[in-house]
Amino acid sequence: MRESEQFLEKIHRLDGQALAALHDAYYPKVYRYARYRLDSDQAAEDAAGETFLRLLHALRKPNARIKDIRSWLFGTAFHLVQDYYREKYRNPKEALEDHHTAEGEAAPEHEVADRASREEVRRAIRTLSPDQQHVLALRFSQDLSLEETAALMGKNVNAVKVLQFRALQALRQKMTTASYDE
Amino acid sequence: MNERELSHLLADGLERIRAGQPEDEILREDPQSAEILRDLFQAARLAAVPASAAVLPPQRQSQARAAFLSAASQLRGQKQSVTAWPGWLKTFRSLPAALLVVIALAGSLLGVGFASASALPGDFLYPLKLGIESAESLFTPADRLPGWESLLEQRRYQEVEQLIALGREADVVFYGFLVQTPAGWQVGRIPLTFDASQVPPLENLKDVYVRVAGRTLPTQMVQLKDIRYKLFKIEGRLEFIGDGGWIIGDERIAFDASTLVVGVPKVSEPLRILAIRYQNGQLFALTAEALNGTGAPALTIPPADAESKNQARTRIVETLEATPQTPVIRDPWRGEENPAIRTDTPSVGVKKPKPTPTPEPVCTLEPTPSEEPTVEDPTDPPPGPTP
Repeated sequence: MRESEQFLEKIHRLDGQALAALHDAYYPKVYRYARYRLDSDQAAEDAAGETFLRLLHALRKPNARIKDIRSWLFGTAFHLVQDYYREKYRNPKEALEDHHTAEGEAAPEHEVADRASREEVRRAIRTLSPDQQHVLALRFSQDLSLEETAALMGKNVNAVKVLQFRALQALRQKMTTASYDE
Repeated sequence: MNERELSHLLADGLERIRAGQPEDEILREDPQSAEILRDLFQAARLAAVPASAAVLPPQRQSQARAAFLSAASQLRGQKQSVTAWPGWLKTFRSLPAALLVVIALAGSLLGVGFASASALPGDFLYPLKLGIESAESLFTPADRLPGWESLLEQRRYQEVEQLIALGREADVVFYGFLVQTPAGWQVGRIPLTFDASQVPPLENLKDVYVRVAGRTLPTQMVQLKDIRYKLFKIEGRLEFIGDGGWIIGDERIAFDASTLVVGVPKVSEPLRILAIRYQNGQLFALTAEALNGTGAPALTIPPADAESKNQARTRIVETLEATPQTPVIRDPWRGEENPAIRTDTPSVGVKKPKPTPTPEPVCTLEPTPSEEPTVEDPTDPPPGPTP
């Protein structure tokens, strides 16, 4: 049995050491993905934590076999982000509160400006289609190659190239419109 | 130009920008689509902006880890309960007691994990530390493995420094550049001691990145048991061929007549190299294998001084065979100007094919009766970059 298979076997047995190594390796990445797409640190932490809890429950199912844990984690994070926005859409009041409780207080002026521009880009990204957001998050928050992104999204490389092109084109348009609006 | 063609151009452009090519240079190549590509590159820069702040504080990550392991621990308990409670656990059948046990187990597991991080060779928890590291290696993406391995090698070196500072004895394996100082031989800043009657020609390894096996002594030295080159495997598309130098990716690898070459290395075709690294950062190829499947004969670069270069080849081969009488190998780059790199075909002479040697150069101080290989497995993942 190959070493990676042995490790997967340990994960399926909920071996403590293997799970700790898995968490150390992937939690920061899943958090980074979620933070890229969500509007607060807390929401991103909740999504990353929930992703790993769901992994435990998936592993616990009888005859559960997860062959590619990385794909599984990012796939689950993607759905959780979608659920988050669906819920937010149903309860728009929460969304308003979130904007007021953004990040920290009394920051230096340049940091405030950076944050403002970051939030502006985030808002523009959130107006894109879920798949477009997903491809941008994988390419630009995880620095994945086209091939890796294609494998995670279950698409071929050409489809990812087109999706990336449309996403960036749409983002460009949104940002241009936003600056005209201001 | 249709959407499909533009998407290919964009993807290609982004990859090249990631690889360090200036944006303007890419745009100049295709003036027709330059304007739209410029906009899209700008959008890509914007798309990377939110990622800059997405860093989790270590404390929050530790808390998440603790919660995750605690949940796993509970689920493991539930899995066991599907069959039967082991006899010794029947005592804890009440829920509060079981919860306490789970929390204690999770706490101790976490505590052991954290404690092992500072373990040193010879400590009870040290094997656990190595186990966790090898598990982490499995989840390290291939492109980051060299950096990860380099980090592990730095850790091994620091552990030896700590052991020496504490005056503790332990068997150790670590990496570093072998240097000769007025006080004697050292790997990095760690002094070595060895039995003079079994002294191998350490000069052969001077200023080279080596792997050392030995034992730390209370005298604040390491008793040398085994020392060998750390081999760097470099595989990729050959980008340039110059006089005495190849470029693959970000690496420039020197070669000379002593380098054993199989096949004909050609620009844009894959090449596999086993190299050593000198303290000045220079990689020197011991062997190179063209992977273009031409089955072409072995090739060497015609040296200015053919006789001396042939001697150099002999010296390298003897070192590979690890004979204690091995003569000195000189750094071919020391004191020489780096030759200009050209993109044209090299001025090479073609010779009869020679087999690619696979043995690792070693200088073994202790006879190894076991089957322990003296060769680092060339199929190992590529080792760290500049150590």
